Amino acid sequence: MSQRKDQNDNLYAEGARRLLARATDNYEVTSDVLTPRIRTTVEKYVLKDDENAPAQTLIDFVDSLQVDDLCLIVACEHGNQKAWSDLVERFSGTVRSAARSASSNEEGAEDLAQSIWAELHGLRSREDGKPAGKLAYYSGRGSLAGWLRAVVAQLAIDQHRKLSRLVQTEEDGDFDRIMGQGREDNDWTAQGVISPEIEVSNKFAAADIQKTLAKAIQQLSAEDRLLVKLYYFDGLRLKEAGAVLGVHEATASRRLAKVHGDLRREVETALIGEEGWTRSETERAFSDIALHLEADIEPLVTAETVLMQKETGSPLKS
Amino acid sequence: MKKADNNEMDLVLRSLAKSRRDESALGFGSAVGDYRGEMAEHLDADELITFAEGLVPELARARFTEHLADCASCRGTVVSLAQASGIASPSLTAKNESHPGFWQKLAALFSPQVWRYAVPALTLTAVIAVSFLALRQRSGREFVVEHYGAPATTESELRTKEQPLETSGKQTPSVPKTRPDLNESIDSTRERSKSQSDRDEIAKSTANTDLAAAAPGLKDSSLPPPPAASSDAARPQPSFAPEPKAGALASGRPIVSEVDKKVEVQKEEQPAERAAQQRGRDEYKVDASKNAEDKSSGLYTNAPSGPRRADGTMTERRANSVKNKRESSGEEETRAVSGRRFRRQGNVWIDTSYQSSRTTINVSRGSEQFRALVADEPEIRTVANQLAGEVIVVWKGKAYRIR
Repeated sequence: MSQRKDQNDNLYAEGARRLLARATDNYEVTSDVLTPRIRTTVEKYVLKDDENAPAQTLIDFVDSLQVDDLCLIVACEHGNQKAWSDLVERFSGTVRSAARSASSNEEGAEDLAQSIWAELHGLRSREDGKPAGKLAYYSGRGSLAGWLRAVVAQLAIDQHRKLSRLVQTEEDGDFDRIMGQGREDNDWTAQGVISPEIEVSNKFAAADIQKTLAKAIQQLSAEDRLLVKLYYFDGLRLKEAGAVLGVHEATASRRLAKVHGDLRREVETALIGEEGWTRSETERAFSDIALHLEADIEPLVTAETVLMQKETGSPLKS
Repeated sequence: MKKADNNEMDLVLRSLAKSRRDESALGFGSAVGDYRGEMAEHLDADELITFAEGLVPELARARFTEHLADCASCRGTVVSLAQASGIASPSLTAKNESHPGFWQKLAALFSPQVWRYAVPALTLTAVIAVSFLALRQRSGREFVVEHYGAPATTESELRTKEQPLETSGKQTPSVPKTRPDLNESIDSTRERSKSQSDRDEIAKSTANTDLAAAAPGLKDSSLPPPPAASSDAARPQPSFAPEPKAGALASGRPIVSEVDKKVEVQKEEQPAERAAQQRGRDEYKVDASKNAEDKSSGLYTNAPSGPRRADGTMTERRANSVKNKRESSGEEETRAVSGRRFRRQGNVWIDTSYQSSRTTINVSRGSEQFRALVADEPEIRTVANQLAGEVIVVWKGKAYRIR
């Protein structure tokens, strides 16, 4: 085990030397400084999932790191002023842009952009006396600009959570009211129902389908589940969801169609096996729900279009 | 799975997502597994950007995907990062691909992706080209057959075949039946030449007239009968196919080629030409003027091109050329009679020693004065006998005009 560790350490040191050799500006970063960072990165992305990864895999992984960005961040972490200046000069625009995207107003965006540099440097100190900033978490695997955007986004989320907690404690009464109203509004099985018996029956049926569908979604593979979440729950288009998954839009579409079939089968099987439904009942329930949903979606689309017309001031296209 | 089932499932999923979004906004836990609180270990910024940029190793990617499928917060960050990097990546890609090298271009040209479509397209193009060439050659051959060779032969063959059938009423073994394809081509030829039938008839009659004028002996024996007498006369005849001779057709003789006919006509023309030469230059002049009148009447202009027309014009041309030759060379212009030379000027033989300023004594042949003159001067009688027409002769210092 220790022999393997020594072999890997040698690989990291050699990898650090290779990286520094092809760096445009290494900011006086040495291989001794870079090697621990490389070790951390390899353990995080490779050895955590495969302890016995072959040496060639480790070498390829190390060689694929973005050495210029990594050297800049490591130099900043070690207090290199030139590196800090370069970092601020090169990426202040990126940080401001990310802050504007994450904030709802310009003032909040400016505050966020200013606070990000402090977060990067770290206000507290670690055990070794160095500042405990976020710079220590950049691995060099992704781009530095992207990493900075991610840091800004996470910081914005944290700030939003803190703010949300305060709002929720202050407005518990309103929250309960909104909660009840929201549940009523989202009760899509009640739409268009005439008979109270049918209404009750449909509510039970919809609740069963909803519960079964949620279970079926949880049983999907991680990739398919992520696709369903991205497309239906996050409201992304197929092209965008495919981009997140690293596949083409057409591939995402085919995969989604397959997911529809899998979910339908799972739900029908569960309803027949666990809830005692017949096949005709499941089919009729799906048809009724779809019918009511189509009737519900149309006024929603119309309302959204009217709202857009009011906002933009442009006439509707027939 | 039917498409309708997929649509139903799509609608159900949309509705479920809508309700879950609302619940999540109101702070409920998620029945589909999403969580936003701090109880989960979220992906850090480095992991998020690595996933968004697609740089995560396979095994780590499965782990990240598992988390992202259930963590709306990290998923939202990844989505925004992916969209931001998606904006940046096209320009980077364009920058990298803006100046591909020659070998890269060549490799891209012969890549399987290109050849997958190029090979069928090239094959299809080649097939179309070969088919087009084959059709064009075939149509070109038909065109040549219609306009130059075969139809004329076919027409003459048909006439050869049809006329004996019409006259004798029975089929000879040597004449095969007409092929349907030939009939079609003949019909098409007839259709095309229908508008020229009248002109052809006029041209034929004109050519016959010319031949008769040039060689009267041929008129009865070798010329075809009038078109109106033939059953085929109403048919439009192609201008390029001369009508075979009726005599030859009726007698069953083999068709004489146009060249042979021309030689035959020329042979028969020769005695007539000699006779015409003997009749004197006045007759030639009359013929020439007659031919000139015919030409000016437009008959020659409308006459069809063919051997018969050529025969008629050749006779005339030959006569005219001989005449012109004689006039230009002066070979027949002077004649020596009784030691004196006479030059022909118009219709008058003039003594070469005669001068226009000299006064002449007019003497008419057969008159008393002429008899007295020739009695005194017998040489003048010889001159008057040998030279026809009007003669001006200078004799012993005096000029006599004998008419």
